[in-house]
Amino acid sequence: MIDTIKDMALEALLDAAREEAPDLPTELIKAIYQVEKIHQFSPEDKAAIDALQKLIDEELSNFQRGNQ
Amino acid sequence: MKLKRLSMHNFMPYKGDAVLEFPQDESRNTLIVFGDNMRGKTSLLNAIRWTFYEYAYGRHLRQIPLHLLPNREAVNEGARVMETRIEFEANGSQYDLRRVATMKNLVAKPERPEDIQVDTYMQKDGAAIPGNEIDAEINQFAPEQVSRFFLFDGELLQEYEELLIEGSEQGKEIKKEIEKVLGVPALTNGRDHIKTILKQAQKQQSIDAGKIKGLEGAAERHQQWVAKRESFENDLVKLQSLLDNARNSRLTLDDELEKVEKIYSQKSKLDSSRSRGKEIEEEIKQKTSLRQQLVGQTWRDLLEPRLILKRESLLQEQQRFNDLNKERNRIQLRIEQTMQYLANLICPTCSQSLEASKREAKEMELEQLKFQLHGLGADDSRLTDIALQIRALNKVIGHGVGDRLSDVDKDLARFEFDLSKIENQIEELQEEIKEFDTDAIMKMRSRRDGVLKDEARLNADVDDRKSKIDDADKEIRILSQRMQPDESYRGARGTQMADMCEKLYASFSLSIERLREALRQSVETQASKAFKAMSTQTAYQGLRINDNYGLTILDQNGSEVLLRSAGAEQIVALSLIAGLSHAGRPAGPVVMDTPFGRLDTKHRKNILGYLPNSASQLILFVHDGEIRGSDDLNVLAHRIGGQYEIKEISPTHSVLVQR
Repeated sequence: MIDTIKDMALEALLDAAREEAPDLPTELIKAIYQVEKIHQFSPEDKAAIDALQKLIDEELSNFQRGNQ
Repeated sequence: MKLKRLSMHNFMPYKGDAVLEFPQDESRNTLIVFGDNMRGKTSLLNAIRWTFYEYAYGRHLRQIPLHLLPNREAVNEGARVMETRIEFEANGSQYDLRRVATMKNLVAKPERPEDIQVDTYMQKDGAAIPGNEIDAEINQFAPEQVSRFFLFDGELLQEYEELLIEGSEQGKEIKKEIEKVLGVPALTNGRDHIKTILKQAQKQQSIDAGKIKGLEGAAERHQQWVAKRESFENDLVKLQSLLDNARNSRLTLDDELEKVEKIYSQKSKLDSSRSRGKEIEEEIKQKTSLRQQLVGQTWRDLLEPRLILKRESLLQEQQRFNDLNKERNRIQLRIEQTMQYLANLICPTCSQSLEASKREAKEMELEQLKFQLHGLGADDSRLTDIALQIRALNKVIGHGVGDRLSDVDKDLARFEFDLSKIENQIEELQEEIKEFDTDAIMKMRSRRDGVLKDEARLNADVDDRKSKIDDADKEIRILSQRMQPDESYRGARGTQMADMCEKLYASFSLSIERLREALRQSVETQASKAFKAMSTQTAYQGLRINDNYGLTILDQNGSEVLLRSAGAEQIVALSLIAGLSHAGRPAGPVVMDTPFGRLDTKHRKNILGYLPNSASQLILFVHDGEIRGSDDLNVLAHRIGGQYEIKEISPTHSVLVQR
């Protein structure tokens, strides 16, 4: 049974993001991963997708504000 | 997480109350529960399963219907409640989880799951947790999806063999389960969820682009491809659901066929017994007819002594005639020689002329010989008659009708015995298969073959739609790239969101492959370490992992050991479990039911020495054949924090006794 999770998954994701999405902030990647980690055994997807959508929207708004 | 106490009330064979206290001392973290087969070891594992996940498994991992879980004896005596409770500690909090099954009003005896209502209660540090949050709370420290790796059924060990079979359906399923315990779903779900958001963003992209002057054409094509992809995806969902249904039907039919396989074998035994029975009946018929013939000839045995005497006398007479004939022939020869002597008057020896006196003597001798020959007489007709009589007697004498009759009687007795044995067998076999319709089994087989064909066709269709979706993705990407030079397009929110999602999607996809590779290496290293500690073969180098997390043994030269014993399989499987628990996450409690069935003494000792170090608490449900006497226990003695024994009160009532 599980106490804490060794985050090899997060490490792999951050590594991959450095190559595939170098301009995206590490905090966003970490936040997205946390959502997925919490919901990984959840029987339905909606809660995770909504949470991800919210994170992406916020990031996009920050980006657009920054551009302005 | 640390288990404290399991309490049961009327759960399966545990009538009334039964309590199992788990060891709390980290240095003595092992609990052993001894119990003979059919006494309730697996029921203890099921009590834990049922408390956490509300289901219990029977043989071949089939779920046991709820109404069969309450203790039969207690139900017959009027009990209406079954309850299990686990008290444990996790993430620094104290938990109390209870599941209560109560017979519904007006139900005298539960006969179907609907006759029982189940209520679940959980307290965290003394405060009640709402019912709808209980599963999520359990998921935090003991997700049901990975429970097979800590609620461990010995029967499951052989399943890990499937991981070595390329393309095995069961292997794929186990691989998924393994990846769950290793935390891969956080990435695979993430990739799929990002993809969903990306698709929404691409729809928005089409709409945004359609409003930009000069991009109308490309936007329309973009929109068409997005719609096409959606249609392929809808197709894929439908096909996948049909495929799942076909696969489930096939698996159910496979299970059913496996169950009736014995019936098949009994049926073929029955057919062969019936045919042997017919053969024996035919042999009995032939022997009976022979016996009748022999009985008709028994007079021969009664007359035989006299006939033998008669034949003896005839044979003697025949001998006398033969001797007489020889004598006659001898005299006849001498007469002829004497007559020749007298006719030539020359001595046949010295060729000299005979004297008169000798000639007279020869003439006298000739007369005497003639007289002798005449005296001997000759009765050829009598000799012929004797020969005929002897021949006739020979036909009757020496047949041993009595002996032959006795042999036939013995054969008949043996055949009758065999026939009665076969008839009993036929009766038993008929009884065994009487409830099974063998024609229906044949039909089931043909239905399974049909479903298998459907499955293959659906698999091909699924692959086709996936490939079409990939093509659509490429087209959408190309069209988007063509529109990129347009500043308005680039600045549109839909485009920016799609770009971000593309990058996230690529990141998740790449990370999944990397994580899998890293996990495989980590599991291989940890499992090899465990294997070396548990195996008695010191020359082995370790284990090698394949893409499905299947493990093969490497010999001293680093070559794969292709043939391995059942015991070796068990050690490899246990090594995989140990590898997974170390590679995925820190060790928690592990509950094992009958895990040492196929191991020899030395391996058992090695494993018993190793396992307590691989889990925070080790709970073993074993029978005496698995852990034998003080020898095995000595290895564990310093780690044992408690021992229980399951005692049988009646076939439906067991109790736990502390040792």
